[in-house]
Amino acid sequence: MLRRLRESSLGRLLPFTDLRVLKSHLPPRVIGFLRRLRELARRGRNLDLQSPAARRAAAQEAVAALPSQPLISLVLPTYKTELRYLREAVESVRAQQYPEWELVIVDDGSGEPKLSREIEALAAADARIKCELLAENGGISAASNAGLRLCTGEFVGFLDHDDKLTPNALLAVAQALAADPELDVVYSDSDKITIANVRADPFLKPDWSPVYALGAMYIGHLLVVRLAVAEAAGGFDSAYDTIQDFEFMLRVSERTDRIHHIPQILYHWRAIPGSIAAGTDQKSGVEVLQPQAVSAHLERLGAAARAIPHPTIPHRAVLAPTNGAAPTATASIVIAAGPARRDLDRLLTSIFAQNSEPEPEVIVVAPPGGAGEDERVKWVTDEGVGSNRARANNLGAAAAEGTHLLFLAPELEVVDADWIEQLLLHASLPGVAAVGPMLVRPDNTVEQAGVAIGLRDPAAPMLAGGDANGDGYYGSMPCAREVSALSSDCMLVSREAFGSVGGFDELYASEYEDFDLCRRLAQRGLKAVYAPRPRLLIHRTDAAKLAATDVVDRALFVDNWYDDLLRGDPYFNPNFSRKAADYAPAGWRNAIYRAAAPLKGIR
Amino acid sequence: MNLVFVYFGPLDVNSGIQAFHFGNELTDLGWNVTLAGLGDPRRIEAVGQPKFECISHDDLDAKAKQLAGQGGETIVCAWTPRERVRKLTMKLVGELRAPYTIHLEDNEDYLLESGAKMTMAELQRLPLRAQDRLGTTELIHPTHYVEFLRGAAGVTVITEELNEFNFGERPHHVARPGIDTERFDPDRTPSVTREQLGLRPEDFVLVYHGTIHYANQHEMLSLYLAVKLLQRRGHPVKLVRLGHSEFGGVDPRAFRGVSDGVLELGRVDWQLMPDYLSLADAFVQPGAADDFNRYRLPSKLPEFLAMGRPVVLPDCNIGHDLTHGENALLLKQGNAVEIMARIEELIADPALAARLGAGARRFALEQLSWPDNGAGLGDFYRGLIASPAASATA
Repeated sequence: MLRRLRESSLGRLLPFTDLRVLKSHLPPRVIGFLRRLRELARRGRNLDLQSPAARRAAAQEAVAALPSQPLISLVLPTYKTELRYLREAVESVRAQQYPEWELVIVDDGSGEPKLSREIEALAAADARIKCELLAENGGISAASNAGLRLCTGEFVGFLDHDDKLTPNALLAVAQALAADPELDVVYSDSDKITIANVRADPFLKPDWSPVYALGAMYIGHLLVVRLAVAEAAGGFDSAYDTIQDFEFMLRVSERTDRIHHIPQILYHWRAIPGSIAAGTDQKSGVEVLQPQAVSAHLERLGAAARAIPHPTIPHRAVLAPTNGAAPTATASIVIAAGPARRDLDRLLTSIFAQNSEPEPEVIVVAPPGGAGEDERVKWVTDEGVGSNRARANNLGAAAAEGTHLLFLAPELEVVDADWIEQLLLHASLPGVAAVGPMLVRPDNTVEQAGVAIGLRDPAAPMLAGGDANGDGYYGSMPCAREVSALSSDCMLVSREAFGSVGGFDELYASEYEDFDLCRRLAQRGLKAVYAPRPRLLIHRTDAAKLAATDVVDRALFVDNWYDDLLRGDPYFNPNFSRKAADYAPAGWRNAIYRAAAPLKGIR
Repeated sequence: MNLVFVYFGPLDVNSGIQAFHFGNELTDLGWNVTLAGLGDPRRIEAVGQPKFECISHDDLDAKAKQLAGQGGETIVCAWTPRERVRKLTMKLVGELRAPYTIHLEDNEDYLLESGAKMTMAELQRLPLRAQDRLGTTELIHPTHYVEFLRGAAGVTVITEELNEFNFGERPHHVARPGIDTERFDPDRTPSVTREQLGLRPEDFVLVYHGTIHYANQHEMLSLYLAVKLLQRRGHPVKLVRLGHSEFGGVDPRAFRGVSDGVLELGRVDWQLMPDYLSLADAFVQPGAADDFNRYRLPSKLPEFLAMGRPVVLPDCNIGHDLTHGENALLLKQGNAVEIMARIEELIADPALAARLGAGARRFALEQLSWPDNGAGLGDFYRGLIASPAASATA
């Protein structure tokens, strides 16, 4: 594509044309497009992508620069595999730029002589390929375990019989391992290829997100694990065949958190009828096995939660309380009263209408004269609160007695009876200090589902405007997941964690103090989590949102967390657009990204 | 003895002023000095009248022939290991068969990493051709600069911490700049008045001069924001800023949101700088004691100190030689909140401000003398020329 661009008349013109000259002739949108196009060509040159030969030369230099080259074993189980797909899979391994690999092919008793002969021929043709032909069909876990036993590498990766690796896949893994030799697990982004070899559906994943993994089987491929860790985890469990790799990863994650994500597509997943890649309803049994695997994992972790299938979206699990578990946590609701009394009345009415057991403590902080008469509410008044939400919420927190603080904006309305139970449930997960639910507008579109940092906006609401009942991006809507920040419009935080970071910073005059709190929690290794349930309605107009914008608060947040913002949000893949946290493709960045891969057939 | 400074940029900006002063001092000590800069060498006249020859980079070939012809010992000083300087220096020393030294004044790794948004380890893992195509000679080459430092006869550093980059463990010398304490005089009568700039008598004025660029955007945001926070807390603080601005960083809008309280004067004649500095009630050099600031000595700091006003600066580089509460206020985090707190201390305690200002001036007089620091540099060069190791590297 780059070569075609350079050779086109436009491409020849671009490097020599000062866009300022064109400004008077072309509309700004066109100028913007040309500027991005020129940047694309320049980056392409810098990345040395002009030709396969140049890429090979660059790869050779990169391999030579590695401080060590650990052997990476690849396990490839086959079962009644179409020969052309198997050949493509093996060829993608043989084409690896990184030389230190071995391929272990295990046939799971296919009983197909042609396939057996093909596998033996592949092994005979390359000393790096081993094979074992199992006499009986034992299932994919059994075959994978047989493969594991033949591995001699320090690390082991997994390749399905009809999938393909990108040529740089193992090199990228080796580079990650060189950068941090303590890593036990490396995983990458992936996409799909159809039977016609058309690439589609890139899956751009977050950095390691164990809570997200409870709801969505997101790790997938490419997955490379230290062999000793894979063996210690016990290999694959046949009871979970069809989701065996997901269940295996849950057990691996119980042994190590040295898990690294490479935000590059290194794996092409073949979407053929019958595979999960072709559609989430293509494999039977997953709806039972997935929550079963997650529940077993949660039990091993000692968490008082279990997983159940999402009521409407396949291959998504949501959390539920463990049967019979007695709740020990309590939430104190803290509301910084705004000027509109009607908002507060609606919120209080909706809270008490849920008849939550036990009845939550409700604290409303208001300026002098702002106290109401509702005796179920503890009223706190202070002259200094004014519009300073941080101060008001700190005062409310100081008066609270619950184990958890639940900050609410007056414009909210509670609609789910088990709302507090759900929030406390997610807060009970290991390492979680803060939980924020989905905030939904009256038209059932999403106001926010967590907050991402380091985009064009330093803190951007995630999935804003999306369908509240949709799947979001690979389960980002219906599944709980780690986020970098939450809004105090509705945030449950453990009182202990809140106190450990000194509460909200009152230097923020009216906003950003909530995101700041989440960053300070993160500094202590405490996580913030988005919970898909409960949902709360938010009655806030766009005009009110604009009026609330405080540029000094925004700058203060940027100043305090500059390095974090520069690094970007670990839970929001860098290949997404920076314009909004809506998981949209990244414009020219995505084009460059694609330029690094074979271009044929990209759609 | 001949000395050729190969300076990385135009001669009238940044540390070109230091090169100018070192050149004059060494000329007084009997050295035959040449200073080669980017572009028109007459730009040095904006700083002052040099006692030595200033040339353009384009004239270095001719200079090499001239020096080779006239004989005598020569040493070449590469002012930074940046790629343009490296290439020019290697060509020059090849022709003259002379030893070279490298002057380090910044954490060059940090500058390149900030620009490329990759770590140095990642950059060095890139294929050489990709490194070549990083696209600039204004910064270092990830691989070549290491070789360049290893091959030097000696290394001069503006602050001791920079000796960490002396990869060849060559002899090194701390070449601290000086300050013209007569020009930068606290009691001068300035040609610019507060009234002319619309500043009120009750305003607490900060003056800062220097470019805003990608490497210091964050700390400049901290300074701008600190002023805004002080104003929000009711303090009549004003920031007068001189210099070019390239607002960017992670959130350009954050800059825009806090820059309305700053009096931006743009570039001004360097000769007028003491006049503008004399308007200040205090100076702030923003920044954390981080990988950028730990290794540099901003050229404006000696000027701030000489002006006899309280100076707030990071607890690193020259900050290590100053004493918090005696002759400066030192920043640990360097963020807006900390700067705000330090300025509030000064506003609340005029006696503290006066004591700090007097202490700063005293430090400048005692530690930042051009004749003393120039003589020290000359002795170091002489030692290198005389040493057998230097002959071996020539």
